[in-house]
Amino acid sequence: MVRFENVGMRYGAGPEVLSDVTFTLPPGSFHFVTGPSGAGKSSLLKLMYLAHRPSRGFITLFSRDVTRVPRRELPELRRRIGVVFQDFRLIQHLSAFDNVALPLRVSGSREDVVRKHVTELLTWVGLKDHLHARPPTLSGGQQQRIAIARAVIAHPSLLLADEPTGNVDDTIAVRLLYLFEELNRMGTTVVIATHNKSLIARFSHPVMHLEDGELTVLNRDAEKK
Amino acid sequence: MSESQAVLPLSGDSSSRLLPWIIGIMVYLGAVILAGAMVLAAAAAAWNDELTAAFTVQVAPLDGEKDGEIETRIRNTAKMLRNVPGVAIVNVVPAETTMAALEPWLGPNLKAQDLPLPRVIDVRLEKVGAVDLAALAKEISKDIKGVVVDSHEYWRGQIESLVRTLELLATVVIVLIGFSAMAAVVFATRSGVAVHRDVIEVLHLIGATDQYVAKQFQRQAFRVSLLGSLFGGLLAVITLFGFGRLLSDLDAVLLPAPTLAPWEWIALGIVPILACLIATMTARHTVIRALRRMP
Repeated sequence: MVRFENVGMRYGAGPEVLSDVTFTLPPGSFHFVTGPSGAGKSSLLKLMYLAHRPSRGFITLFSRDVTRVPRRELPELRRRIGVVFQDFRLIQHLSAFDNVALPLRVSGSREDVVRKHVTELLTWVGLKDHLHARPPTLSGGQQQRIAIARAVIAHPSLLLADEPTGNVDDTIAVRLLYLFEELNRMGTTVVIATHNKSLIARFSHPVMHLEDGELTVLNRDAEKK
Repeated sequence: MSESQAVLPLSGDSSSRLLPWIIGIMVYLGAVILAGAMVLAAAAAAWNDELTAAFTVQVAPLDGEKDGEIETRIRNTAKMLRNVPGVAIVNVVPAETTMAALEPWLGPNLKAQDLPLPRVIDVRLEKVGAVDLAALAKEISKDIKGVVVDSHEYWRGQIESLVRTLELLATVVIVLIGFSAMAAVVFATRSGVAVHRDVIEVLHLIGATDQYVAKQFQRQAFRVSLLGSLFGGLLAVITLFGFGRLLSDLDAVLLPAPTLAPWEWIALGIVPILACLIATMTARHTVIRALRRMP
C-alpha cells in the first residue's frame, strides 16, 4: 500500500525535515505516527497525501512510484486517500453538507448519490441537525467530525489523520479512534499522527516514532523495549 | 449546493466587483469604434461610387481666343459627350455657378471675364466603368483644343487612403481594447487564485483536477463578462442611435446617413459575445497556468 525508501524531504532550500525514512505499510494496516512537536509527523503525512514531493528517495503508493508520477495523474491517486487535517481545513462558506459532499462531487458522483451518502454519514457522526450549518457556527468537535466525514465519504483506500484528537476531550478522542478502527476493519489502511501517548497506549496498533526527522521505532514491541 | 454552484466564493472578491465595469467599458468602446469604422467604410464606398460613376470635363480658355469661341468649344464638347455610349447626363455648369463657388475666396466683385477660369462639364455615367475615360480624353483632345478630362482618380485615391488609415487605426484600437480586457481578467483571476489559495489546495488534496478548479473561475469570468457586455452593449446601442439621430438632423453634405446594414448590426452583436468568450478563455488559461505551479 505505502512504501518509503530512503526518503528525504525539505521545504525549499531549508534543512531536511525528514531524513532517510524507510518503511512499508501493508494494505489494511493501522499505524500511529508519533513523536515530539516538530519531529516531522505532519511532513511525513504530507508526503503520503501527495501535498509534497520528496527531495530524495522513493515513495510507492498503490503500487505507483509517486515521486515520478505526472502531475495530471495526481487527482486520481488523491481520490483514493482520505485526509483529516490538523486544522480541519473545512471550507468556511460552505455548509457541513457541502463540505462533506466535496470529494464525491469532484469525482463526478451523481447528485442523488451525493445527497443520500452525505446525509447518511452526517447522521452517523451525529450531525444530522447541522446539515446546513457553516463551520464557523459549529464547535471544534463538530468541525472535527465534519472533517472526518469528508475524509471517509468516498471510501478511501488510505486514511491519514493529522492530530485528529487535538481539539477534543479524551472520551471523544477514544470514540474517534474506534471510528477509525471500524473503517480499518472495512479494509481502509489507517495512519494517525498524534503525540497523545496515553491515547496510543489504549490501542495495540504499531507505532512509527519520529525524532528530528528520522524514523526511529517502527513497532510496538520495539517501542516497549 | 449542486455541482454547478461555486465552491470558491469568487463573486465576493473586490476584483470581481470591478471587472463587469471594466469589461462593460471595453465592450462599449469596441462596439462604438467598430460601428464608426463600418459607417466610415460605407460612407467612403458611397463617395467612391459617386466619384467613379461621374467625371468632369474642363474646357480651358485659349490664348487669343475671341469672345464666344469658348462657348462653341463647350457646345461641341457637350455634343460629343452626349453621343458617347454609356453617358447618361451631360451638364454644362454655367460660368456664374463656377464664380459663385469661388466667391467666398475671391470676393463678390469678380466677373467671369476677369479670370481665365476653365468651364466645367459635369458628366454622369449610366453605370460605373461604362466609358473608357483614357480613350475618350484622347478622342476629344484630338478634335477640340484645351479640353481636359478629370476622372476624379486623385480624389478617389485620397479617400481610399484616408479610409484605409482610419480602418487600420480602428483595428489597432479594438485590438488594444481586447488586450486591456484580457489584462484585467488576468489580474482578477490571479488575484482570485491568490486569495483562495487555501481552498484550492484543499480541493486539490481531495482529488479535484485543475480543470475542476478552472471551471469555477471560468464560470465567474463568464458571468461577470456577460453582465459587463450587456451593460456596454446596451450603452453602445443607445449611443449609436443617439448619434444617428443627431447626424440625420444635420444638413450633412459630406456625411451620408450613418445607418448600419443588418450584417453590421450582427457584427456589433458579436462584440459582447467575443468579450465573454475572451474573458472566459483568458480566465481558464490564467488559472490553469497558476495551478500548474501548485503541488
